[in-house]
Amino acid sequence: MLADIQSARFEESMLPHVDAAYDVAWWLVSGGSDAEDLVEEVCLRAWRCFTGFRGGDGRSWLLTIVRSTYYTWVREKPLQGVAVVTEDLQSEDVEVPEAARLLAESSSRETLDEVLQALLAEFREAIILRELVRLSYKEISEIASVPVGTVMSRLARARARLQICPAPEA
Amino acid sequence: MHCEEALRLIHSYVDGELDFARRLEIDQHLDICYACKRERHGWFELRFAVREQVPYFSAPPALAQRVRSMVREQKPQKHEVPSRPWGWLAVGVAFALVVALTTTTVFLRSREPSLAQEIVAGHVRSLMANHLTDMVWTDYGTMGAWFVGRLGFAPPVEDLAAKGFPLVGCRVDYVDGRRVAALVYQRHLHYINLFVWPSADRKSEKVLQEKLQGYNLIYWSHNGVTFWAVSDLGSAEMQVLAGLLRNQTEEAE
Repeated sequence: MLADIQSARFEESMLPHVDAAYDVAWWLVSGGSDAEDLVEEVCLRAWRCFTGFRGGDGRSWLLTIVRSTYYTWVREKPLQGVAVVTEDLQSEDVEVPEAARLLAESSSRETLDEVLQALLAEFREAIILRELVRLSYKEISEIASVPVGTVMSRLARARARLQICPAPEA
Repeated sequence: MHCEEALRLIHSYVDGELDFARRLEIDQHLDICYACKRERHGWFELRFAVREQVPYFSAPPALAQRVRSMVREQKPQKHEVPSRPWGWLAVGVAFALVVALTTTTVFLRSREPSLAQEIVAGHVRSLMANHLTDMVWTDYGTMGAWFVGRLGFAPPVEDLAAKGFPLVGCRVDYVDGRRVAALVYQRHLHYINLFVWPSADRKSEKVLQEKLQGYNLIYWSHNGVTFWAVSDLGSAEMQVLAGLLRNQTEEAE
């Protein structure tokens, strides 16, 4: 009986955000069945610790789990084509080899989403959370557990990479 | 403000994350600095391009279904019982708060009846004259630039479509002897006019509500900006909108 109420509550507060979770997961793992597996595991984790959810913003709560599950995955079984950040993100010059390579290979043909996919996960997730999920700096900072200033600088640097990318139609 | 400071804040600016005063300072700088203005334009264009071109992937229907059956089959954590009384207590407290807030707003009558009448008149006029908006909403930058050009300030609010109140557009209106920003939000088939203008008073004020000629009004001041919303929507939904708008302006600080 209690479990029934609990599962109804879970469905009500979490299922509406599975789309947002999937979108963020898709961009973190660069698509494919990995995104589905990730979200499934996220939902399982969310369900297991659902008693820890004290109401409020279900989407942010679920996205926080997406993020932590993703980084656990990356540590345990490195995914193909996923860049793992080890540098100090506060330092001024972070190398983005994939993006640089992509841009060098074809200076005019890469689309925005291709360049986005080649960004480091931290930069990619900042763009996705801000522009696609449309979260505020404060919400992003809570999900990524970094100060608001870091969110701002990640966005600035991610956008600087994306800006080199030309408009699609030509 | 100098270029260095303006450029340091430019991303917070294009993201609508700056408080009103800071945004105004940047606007003033951009009026005289072509290079920074071009920079702003570039970032707005990029934001727009990302939103236009980068696909949003929705979860496959089967995935939501799998999650649903997983939840029904598996038990959640063991120690679920202790948390429940608190959950219901929270609901009770929230309910009591809502009741308390509603009663306060009912008893706190308006101190500016003539202003309320003007606001209602502005709302009615906007709906009658087929002149609801002068500019259709596209993004914050376009709207901000449009208002700055006409009024010298940009209202610190944005679209709330995700929360059920899409921003339709905006126009310049005339209230209380001055030109003000008027933003039109929509809720189902109802329109809400939100009038915004800078005020000398910088302290935050309580949200007040009243009813006039069958219209619901809700108004407040925050950090030197006065907001008045008017509509034929129910007062509960007006409170929801006011809450969302206040969150938006407060989070930007």
